[in-house]
Amino acid sequence: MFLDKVIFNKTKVPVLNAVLDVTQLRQRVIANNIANVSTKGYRKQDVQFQEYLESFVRKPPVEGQTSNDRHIPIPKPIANPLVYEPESSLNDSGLNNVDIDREMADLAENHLFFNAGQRLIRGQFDGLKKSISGRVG
Amino acid sequence: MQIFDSLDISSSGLSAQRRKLTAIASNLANVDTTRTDEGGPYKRRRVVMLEAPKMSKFSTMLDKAENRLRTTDGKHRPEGEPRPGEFFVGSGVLSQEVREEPVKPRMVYDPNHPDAREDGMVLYPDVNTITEMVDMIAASRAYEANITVMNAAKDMANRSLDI
Repeated sequence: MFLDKVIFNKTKVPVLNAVLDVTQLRQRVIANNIANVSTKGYRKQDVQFQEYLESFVRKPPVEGQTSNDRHIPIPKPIANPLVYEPESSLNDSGLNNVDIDREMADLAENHLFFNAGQRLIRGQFDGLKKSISGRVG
Repeated sequence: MQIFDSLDISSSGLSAQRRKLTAIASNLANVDTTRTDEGGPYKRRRVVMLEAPKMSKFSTMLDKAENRLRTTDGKHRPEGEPRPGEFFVGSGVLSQEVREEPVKPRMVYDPNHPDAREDGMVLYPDVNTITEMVDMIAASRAYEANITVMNAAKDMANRSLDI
């Protein structure tokens, strides 16, 4: 969309959008781990969110230009966050490998991360509003 | 809707743990029950948890592919693709109740009891109060954990309305 190109892509909105999306996904994954805390044989899941978000801010070593229709562009951000089952987690309880303390800590961290993203994205929109209306307040 | 999926997952956890607590309450209340409708002493109730099917399961994928909306008119817009990450996230927990056959019923010698056998022994249910109490603490802690998750999800949804 044209508006996206001239306005939003020049702000931090796309990366903050990805932050909110990936924290929502992680919230679901953690909720599922905690709901299955007493399910026998359940294997916990996690989201590879750091790598995903890093791919937005890291500059690619080579920037390619496509001068021909048949060129394939060098991909920039990773397309989607990866949901995976961590390999190295202990099965202490003999029931499953969900560590409830770890999950609650991840939940709190994820919650704060979401709040930070939300506050920043609101700041971006406030800035845009100010620059459109041309006055402060 | 996407935003409420996390709440659905947590509520499945809450109802599973509540079911477990109900079974424990019933076991403790019937610790001395010697007579039941099906005959014999009370059989211990037990709740087992199962992982709810993931989107990535073959059967769910097939269902989805078969029930896809088709576009029969040029002006129709195609159905949105689900985001790829979501295929691998589970959708909560399921619970199932089973009645356990008594392994080792408690035997008490009491010939005057109306349910005594010919040799004077009375069969009491195979319910261990200590096991039930420990299970009860575990279930109520798990219940609280699910509530915490739910509150976090609610707060996140509220804040995203604030953007």
